[in-house]
Amino acid sequence: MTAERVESVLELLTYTKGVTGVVVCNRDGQPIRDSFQDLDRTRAMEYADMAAELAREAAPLLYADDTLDSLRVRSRTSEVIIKCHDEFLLVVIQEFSE
Amino acid sequence: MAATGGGDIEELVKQITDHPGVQGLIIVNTEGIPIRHTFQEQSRPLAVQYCALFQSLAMKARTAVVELDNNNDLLFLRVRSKKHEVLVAPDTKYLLIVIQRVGNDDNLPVNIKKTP
Repeated sequence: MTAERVESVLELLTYTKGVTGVVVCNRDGQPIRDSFQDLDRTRAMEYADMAAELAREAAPLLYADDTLDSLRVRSRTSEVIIKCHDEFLLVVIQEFSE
Repeated sequence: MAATGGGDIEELVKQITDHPGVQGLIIVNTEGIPIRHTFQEQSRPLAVQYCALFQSLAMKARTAVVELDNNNDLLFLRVRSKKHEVLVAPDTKYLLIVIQRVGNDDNLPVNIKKTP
């Protein structure tokens, strides 16, 4: 996938209705790029840490011939969707009002 | 989840297991003991294993959610792999685990009551 395609996909996700943040990070929890506006990337690092930790915890739960595809963590105010890849994690945060 | 009414739990179990694609259901108490599961009786070790693994994951997810926002709490957790999807609904007293098949038809609706 070329850089332009990555950019267009991230932009599409960022401006989807209800989505409040998008983070791309590696498996160690270091954010590569994010859609938040804060310069110190605090929120991106928090979500990246969360995603990496949960992906690390969930992967061994599956059978040997199965691989982790995605995780969805729904809380009271938001839902975090973690799409897993061999090297990267895509984190999408969407919020809703109940 | 009603702790007194057995009929409520049976109705819930039937409502979930009758859904297409559902392969198993486990209800866990706070001590990590499966009090109800729909596997064959000789598969109780399988239910115990699912309980231990996914209860630990749910606790980790709850910790992560509360770390991000102190006023927040975990409502639901889905772990999707290439072949299966495990749905975990934590509550104060019980944990509900549903295992379903990931088919080619991604339009299968999962109509599980939201945990209050």
